[in-house]
Amino acid sequence: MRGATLIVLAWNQWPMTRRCLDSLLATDLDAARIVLVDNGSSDGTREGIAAYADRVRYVPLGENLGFVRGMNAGIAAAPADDDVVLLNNDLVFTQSDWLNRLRDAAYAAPDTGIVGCRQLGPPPENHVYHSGGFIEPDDLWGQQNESGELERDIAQFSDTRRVQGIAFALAYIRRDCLDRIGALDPMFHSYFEDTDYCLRAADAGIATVVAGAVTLRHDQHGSTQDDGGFRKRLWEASRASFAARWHQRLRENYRGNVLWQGTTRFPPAYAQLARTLVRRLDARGLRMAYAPVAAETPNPHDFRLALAARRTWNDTPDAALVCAPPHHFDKARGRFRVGFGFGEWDRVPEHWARAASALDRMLVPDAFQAEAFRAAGVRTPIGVLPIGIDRDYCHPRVPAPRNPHQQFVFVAVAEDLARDAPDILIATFRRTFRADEPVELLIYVRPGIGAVPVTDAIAPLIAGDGARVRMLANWAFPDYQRAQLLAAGDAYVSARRGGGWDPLAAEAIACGKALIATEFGSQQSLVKEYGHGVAVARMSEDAAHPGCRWAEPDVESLAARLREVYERHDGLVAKSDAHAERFAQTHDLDETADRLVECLADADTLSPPRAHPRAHRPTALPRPASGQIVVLGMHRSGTSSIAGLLVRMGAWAGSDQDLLIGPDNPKGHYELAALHGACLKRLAAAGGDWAHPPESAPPAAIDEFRRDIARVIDLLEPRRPWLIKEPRLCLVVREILPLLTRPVFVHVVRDPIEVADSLVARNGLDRAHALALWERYTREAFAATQGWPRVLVDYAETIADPIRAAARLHADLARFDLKGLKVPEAKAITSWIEPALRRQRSDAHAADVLSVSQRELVAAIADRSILADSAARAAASARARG
Amino acid sequence: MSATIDSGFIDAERLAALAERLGVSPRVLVAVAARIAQSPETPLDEERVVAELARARDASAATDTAVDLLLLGHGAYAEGDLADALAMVWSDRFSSTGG
Repeated sequence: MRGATLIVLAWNQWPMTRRCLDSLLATDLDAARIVLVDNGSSDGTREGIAAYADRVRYVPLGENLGFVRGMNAGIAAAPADDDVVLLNNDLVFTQSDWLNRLRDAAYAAPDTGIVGCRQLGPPPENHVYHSGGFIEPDDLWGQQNESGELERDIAQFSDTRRVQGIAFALAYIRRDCLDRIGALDPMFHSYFEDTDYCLRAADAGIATVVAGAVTLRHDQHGSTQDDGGFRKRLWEASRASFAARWHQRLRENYRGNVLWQGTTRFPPAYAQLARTLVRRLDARGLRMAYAPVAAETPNPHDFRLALAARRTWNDTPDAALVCAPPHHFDKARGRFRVGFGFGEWDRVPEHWARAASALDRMLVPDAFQAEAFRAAGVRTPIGVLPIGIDRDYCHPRVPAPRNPHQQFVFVAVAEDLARDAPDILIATFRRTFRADEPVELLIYVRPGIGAVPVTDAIAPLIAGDGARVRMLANWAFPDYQRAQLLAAGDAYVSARRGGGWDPLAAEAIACGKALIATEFGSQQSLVKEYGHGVAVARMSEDAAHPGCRWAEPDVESLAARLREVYERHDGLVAKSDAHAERFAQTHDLDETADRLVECLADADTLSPPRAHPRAHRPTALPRPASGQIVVLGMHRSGTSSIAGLLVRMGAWAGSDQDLLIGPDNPKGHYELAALHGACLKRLAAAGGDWAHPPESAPPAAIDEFRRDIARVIDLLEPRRPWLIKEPRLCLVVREILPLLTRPVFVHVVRDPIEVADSLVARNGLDRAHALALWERYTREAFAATQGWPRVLVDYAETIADPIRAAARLHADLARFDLKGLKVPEAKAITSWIEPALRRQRSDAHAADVLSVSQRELVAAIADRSILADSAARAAASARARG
Repeated sequence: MSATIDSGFIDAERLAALAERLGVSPRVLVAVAARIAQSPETPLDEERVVAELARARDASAATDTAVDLLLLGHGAYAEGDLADALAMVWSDRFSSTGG
């Protein structure tokens, strides 16, 4: 059976190699083989590995050929259909299910070819050494993380996401990617071969991803010992090779120069935008430069921002974005000048409006801000750019120290006494809660100009008896840790006078925390929809900005919201994670970046975006199907009939004693009992069954299912071509893709009303439920097989003319060069498929019983467009629009 | 930019009064004092004070910014891990109020 070959490359340092192997062998190595490639070690590696002979295949090389040729030797030694996993010997496998989680990521999309993981340095620092990186085209310094900053592990980048490149200290490479791209390029000895491989794959439409669910320990450079400049010489030689191939290409990927004029320190909200968006815009093809609007001490650890600050050019930038308090807007210097800003009031100061007149376009985070600028007389076109959540850093799994007494913690932040009104919050909090209640308020006083007045004002308020209030002041922390502040509490309170955009408000929801905020300004619509709103008592004038009004939070309302959140906490927690996930999906900072790119390109001062290569699909490879057939279809769709037809063509469904025969289908299901049991167990382990499919599954359930299916495949492999069939596979077939060798999927479809009515008659389901199940099974099955060889068989057409249908199915399968099948004799076909089998005929009309999406699905099946590649369809429709 | 200095370490009233007499902002005066303190070996006579004041006036924007940074306090630029701060806040040694 196909699996994965794990290739460990070693050059001396046997103790390190042994540590790697011992930790590796202690993990779940389902369907995996280990190969140790010895790059000419002379330190006892050969002798040491002898003790592992029954578990590790030893591939000795006569001399040190370097990383690339060493790994290529391992790839050559792998079985021809296996995926491969390249591994450094300085890795320590600290996660038992690492391989299966890599498989999940590798087969989540048809165009994924290369998968990396999060790599941590040694404890206690636990720095994230690698989480998917990029290479900048200025000096070709490859970076191991998106910001280039060395961060502590706070569960950042814990989702699977696409990246430009990964470090091949660990690289899962799908076989169809290897077939397409080949092995590593021996032009490199060591270094840069990984980035080169990922870029070549990208050129072929193959995606590189990082599986955020996998974290391993990596003692960097343990595998390439320095010997007085040896490593440096290797690096420089590889860099020169890389530059010759890619330097110009990477530069040409840019659409133009864009100057970000802003701040990386104060005010924090604007600084956060610089830190999170400059790198995203750069990754989207804008050559980003950075200039502060006021003197500041830059953060040298943020590689992306430091790089942007170093960049210069002679001409005026193609576009400039001033992202700073709007009185800086008149500093914009670009051919197209855009400003992003917000105020605290219902009408911004007039000098802001004058500064905005220097812009070609203004952006604000919400409609409230747009109105506040218009009220001050701004005539520059104003667009709304909602700011999403940085999901890489803000999610419910962010770890943080918690109150050791398990008290309920409200978190608030203060940086300006008048705007943030921490004094009102403290007074109201102490009035709301008794001293003996298990609740506290934690106020973080942000360092800055306003810190001293805030601290001086609130210190007397938190003294003495009463509900507990803690103040954290005079402490700055790296911005990437900000979600930990939210994670340390249960609710975030933004009961401010000012209506300016408070990034922590939305981030609190994304972290699964309750939000309490004044129903005013940029937080108004957010808190009304997702949080607990504090009413506005009255509008008042900001003494520092005459004529500008903000909102006085109503203390009775604030007290009620504090009490409400505290008392309903258990109920809120129960649904907070799902709530957070839904919120984050619709408030994504990457979408903000996409829209910002569109806006900056709106004046045509930037070049058009480069065309993306056509997305890779396994079907594009000229390799014959291996003879593994998977029949997919909803219950009562005729899958047994088609499976029987395939058996008559010559496919093997398993031994008779292994097959199920039930009273509802006396001719046989062609369904293996072991497969049926595995599917039942898989759905049950996730808390569901065939009629109530679960939305997700615990990783252990997926792993156990793969083990069960591996045994089924082993049973069938001696007799290709073979088939498996089980309706529940529609829901879980993606999970077995790593085990299948160039399979062909046969989708059996039937009129959904007939299917539903059959389920109503057999199982007592109501029709709506049955139709919903049909839609779910059908959509999931077609989604999982997208890009893989597949054919569609219509049950009604088969019943109407079984001989013709059999010939057509055979011809469809022959397109994939599937050997060993022949069209059965007509008698054999008609004795198996007879019209009487079509038990359920419906008089109902689709328009009366099917939903819009169900009718769309029926139409896509009817015209076979469901088999078309969605990427190809999108490209075709884009061309049509063009 | 505000002409007052809010800090527990400086007598704001006396500083403001002296600045007014010299015709500069209190922030500029802080910068001048810092420059003088940086080179104690140079004699401090009226000529030097006048020269330093003139230099600070000529670079008023940069001087103001530098003083802003100074007044932010070390916490604004010296970063520590938030987890350490939170652990400290919730430790018994940290003085808290109420409860």
